[in-house]
Amino acid sequence: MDIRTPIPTNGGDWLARFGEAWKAQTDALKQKFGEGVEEVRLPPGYPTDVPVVYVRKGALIDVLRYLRSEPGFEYGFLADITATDEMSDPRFEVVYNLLSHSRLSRIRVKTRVRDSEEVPSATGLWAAANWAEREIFDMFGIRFAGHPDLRRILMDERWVGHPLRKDYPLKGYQIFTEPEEIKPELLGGSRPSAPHLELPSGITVEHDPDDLWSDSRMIVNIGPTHPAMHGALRMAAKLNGETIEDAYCSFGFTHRAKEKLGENRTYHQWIVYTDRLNYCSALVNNVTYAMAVEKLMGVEVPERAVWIRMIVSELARITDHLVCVGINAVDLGAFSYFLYGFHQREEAYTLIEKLCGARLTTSYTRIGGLMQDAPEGFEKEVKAWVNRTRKVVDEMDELLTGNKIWHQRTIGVGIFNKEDCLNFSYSGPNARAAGVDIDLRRDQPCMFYKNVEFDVPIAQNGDVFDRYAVRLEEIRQSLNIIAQCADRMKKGPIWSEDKRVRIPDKDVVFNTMEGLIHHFKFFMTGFEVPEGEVYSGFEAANGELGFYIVSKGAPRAHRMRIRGPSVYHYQGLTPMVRGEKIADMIAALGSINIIAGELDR
Amino acid sequence: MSKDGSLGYLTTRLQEAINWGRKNSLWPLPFGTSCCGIEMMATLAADYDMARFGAEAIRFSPRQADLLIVAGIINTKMAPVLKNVYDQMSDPKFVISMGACASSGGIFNVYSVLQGIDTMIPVDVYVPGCPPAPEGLLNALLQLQDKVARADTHSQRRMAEVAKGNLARL
Repeated sequence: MDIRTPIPTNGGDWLARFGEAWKAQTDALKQKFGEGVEEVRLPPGYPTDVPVVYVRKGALIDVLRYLRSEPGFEYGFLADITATDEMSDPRFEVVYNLLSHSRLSRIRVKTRVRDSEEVPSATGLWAAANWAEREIFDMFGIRFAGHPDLRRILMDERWVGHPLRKDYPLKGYQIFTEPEEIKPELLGGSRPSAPHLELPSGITVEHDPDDLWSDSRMIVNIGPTHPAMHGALRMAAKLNGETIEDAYCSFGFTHRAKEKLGENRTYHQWIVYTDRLNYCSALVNNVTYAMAVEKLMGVEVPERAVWIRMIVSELARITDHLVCVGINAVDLGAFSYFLYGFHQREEAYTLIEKLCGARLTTSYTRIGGLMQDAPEGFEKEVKAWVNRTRKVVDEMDELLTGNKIWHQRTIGVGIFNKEDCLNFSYSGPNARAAGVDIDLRRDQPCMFYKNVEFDVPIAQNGDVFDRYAVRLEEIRQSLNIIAQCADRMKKGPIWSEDKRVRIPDKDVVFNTMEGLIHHFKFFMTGFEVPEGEVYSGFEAANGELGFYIVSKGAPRAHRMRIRGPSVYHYQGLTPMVRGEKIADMIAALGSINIIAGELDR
Repeated sequence: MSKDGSLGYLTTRLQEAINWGRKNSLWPLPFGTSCCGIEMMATLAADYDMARFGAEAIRFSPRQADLLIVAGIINTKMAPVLKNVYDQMSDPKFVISMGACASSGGIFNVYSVLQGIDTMIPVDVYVPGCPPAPEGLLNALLQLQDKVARADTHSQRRMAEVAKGNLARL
């Protein structure tokens, strides 16, 4: 085995399936754009999981547009935009990860840019590019020409410097004493469309100096510590009566620099940081991250470990969905519903505690294996839990799904249709609620998802009720998957035999010199990951969770990018609630399940 | 009070009676930002049920709460907000710092994270853990109740000093 070439593991016949097509596609691109395409790097010649197309800045938007809609390409889904700091000339690379829903393949477009140069903005092609580009501006200082609103997004507006540049110190703290101010100018752009609030005749109101538009419209600040804002989100809404005429969202209130830490911790050390992404379903993050690094290194995981990984992924999905629907119901006043879900979640946490000793922040996977084997009789306990949870989910279903108040608060509220979903890069249950028929577990199968039976629930309207219904049905499907996995799990090793990643057993460490040295090297310097890059996306509870890792052969990543689905979902909130009542905003926000840890990273 | 329900006598100092009342009716303001917030929710839910200790009246308005539970990371963008919320609470007010991030920054010694909220506001009880289990938060609540009964929290000590004339009223 040539360890310098990554082998597509985890569901892997990718190279066989797509190798020819990639060659044809990149040749067609070269022919079409000539000089515009600088360079094409293809696997297996270059260690990457999908073709990388380097494009000149001038041709970037044309290439992206062509890739998006040209038959034979149809990369209509913008999975992610990010950048890397190469510390050379040209200094930065802006990276576009695209996914084709119809052809189920991926491609990566890159463009090189100097420190002071601007990149043309892709906001005209995908609305989702807006925040992604703002984040790149915030983190790297790359400016985008034609971007409608290029401001800082994660960091405070008074921040100096760009944290993800290699020359920004990891501990370059900056402290502020005053919170960020509301910006009315962001809300004043367009004249209101809803009818003006009429006062009864005979009543006159003196002009209020706080009335910014002199038409009794007002700005309401919601968050970052509002009970309905799920942690630390902030929205400033311009209201006409109770109707939201315009709004803008801000976030970054829990930014913990996980991407910067990814460049400063070894691959093994960084596992703990993945827990704290979407902390409602930490196990999925662990699994996805481990799969990404394994894909980069070409490490195969033994069968038992994969089955356990599938069980814990689905367990995490269920706990996440239970929290989401429970909290959504609490926000709308249905408190007891939340208690049903939370009890079942507690039982799931007991199971997770048995696996790894922690409830929430599990750090259960290791690169190439698992922290420890499932305890004796785990399968039985899981199946018993599955049976109990089935009953509880049915009960929850009866309690709320037919409830008239629930219908009135959710049906037709917060509609986000299929086009919007694709435009804003929605994924996961939120996209499926609007009829986007994509589930990476089924469509880009990794682990043993091909070998288990499950349905992918789809709804059509894309409103709050549909998102709720899809989640509830997904819980049932995940329960089915867990039961099947528990049946098919066999005894066996849980560690890959690959010496590079396997943590030496304790008796070897304590009894042999080589083992001790190996152990010491493993934890002090970490294992080296061969040069290459990989984007590994998996269907996490909320949508497509992706890790884009660029390695330069060191024990620490050169770039550790996290594609959190919440960022793209939160970006869609403003168009989703424009024109709705402010109380419906709470319903809509609860239904798209924004998790601050994943949003702010 | 006697066992048969007839009134007897109970003598105590007024301040102790007040503190007894305070400690058994703490009204928390849950400042949950991240992972710890989820465990705090679990503590409030039926299985752990913080109501058993008289602290179930969750208030999101600082004016109506006397216990600030900071559950989760506070970064430099959030820190001024936390300070505002704390300043808006009326005395006596108590602070529980839940989890490693709030107490010390935890595993996040990075540019954006405040290295402990005690650089910003006084903290009465720290809860270790990342995140602490619900039992940890309940234990912290009991510890805080002891402190409140002894009038040994930051806020109560300051109030006592103000009453003695040693400190200016804020």
